[in-house]
Amino acid sequence: MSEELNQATKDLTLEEQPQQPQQSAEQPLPEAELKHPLNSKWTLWYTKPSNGKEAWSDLLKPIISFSSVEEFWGIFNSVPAPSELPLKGDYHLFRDDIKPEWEDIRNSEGGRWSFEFKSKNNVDINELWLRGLMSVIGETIQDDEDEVNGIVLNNRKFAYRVSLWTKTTSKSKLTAIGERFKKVLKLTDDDSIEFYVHKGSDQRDAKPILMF
Amino acid sequence: MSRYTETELIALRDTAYVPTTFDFAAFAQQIQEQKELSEEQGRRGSHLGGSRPKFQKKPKQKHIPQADEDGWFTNTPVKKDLEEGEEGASTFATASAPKKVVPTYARPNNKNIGSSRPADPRDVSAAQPKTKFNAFSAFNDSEDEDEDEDDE
Repeated sequence: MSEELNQATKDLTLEEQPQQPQQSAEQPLPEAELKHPLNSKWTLWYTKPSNGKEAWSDLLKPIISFSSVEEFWGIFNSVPAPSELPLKGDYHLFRDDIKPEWEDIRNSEGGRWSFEFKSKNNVDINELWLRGLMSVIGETIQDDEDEVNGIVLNNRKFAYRVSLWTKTTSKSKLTAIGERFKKVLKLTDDDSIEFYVHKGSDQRDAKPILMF
Repeated sequence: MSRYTETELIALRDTAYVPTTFDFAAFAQQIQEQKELSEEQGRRGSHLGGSRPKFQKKPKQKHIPQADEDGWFTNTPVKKDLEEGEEGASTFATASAPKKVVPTYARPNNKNIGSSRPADPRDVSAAQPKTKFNAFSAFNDSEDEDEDEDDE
């Protein structure tokens, strides 16, 4: 009897057994893959077109987060290009866990530089979107750390709109960022980008506070 | 702060690592379906008149009031009378049927309502007595009458 009991309790110890690694959505990459870490973690969001029944919060969903150059390229190569998005479909790339909404406390005091490419057939939006993404994740669009919160692409019927969301509305910082944003989007001197403050954006006739 | 220029990032493109925590194929499929749906709705929209050419309608010719013989204007368009023999008997019934008369109300001129001046100059002659009263002739008339009475 005692031999049987010893046999049955052989594997039961008070010491913690080494646990099997769990499969989670945020499973980190092996260190070997993280040769080129980014300054921040970034999250790609997608807004699907509304069918008139769903609320805004149901349309906007995070796709995936990444924090290295290698992951960025893997994700970029795997998701559909901007030109393949349906009308009223949007991509958002935001730093850390900032939601691409005006209501997020890290966006609420800021605004956005915005430009609309109205001749959709004459613009390579895939290339420009990639340039925008690289300037944001590579942190070359800004001098100060974390001044840019994210970048947004809207596919609309008559235009592609690219917007750069900032944390503040400090004019001195905005001017430098706006100047670089124009270069990233390959705009000429005749094109002008506009800066809108988030606090006034909910009004229908919101006007830009800056043009560059 | 770790920075990467565009050139540096492009140079690392070959090192791409695709995370396995997300089903990219299903996501791409979902977007493809949404795009097809939005294009289909766009076609329907144009068929229903979204981009259909809008022809300019010929504007209705306004009725220009004409002065009648008395110099009056009316806003009611005057219909042409049926000429005899031109239309057949079939149109007679409809032509002779009592027509629904839509009353038209002329706006009264009440601007000078407190004034003694007539609104229409023709009223001047209408308001004047046709025969003027002559006191002397009236006096003579009464005398004649008296005489006549005396004679009788």
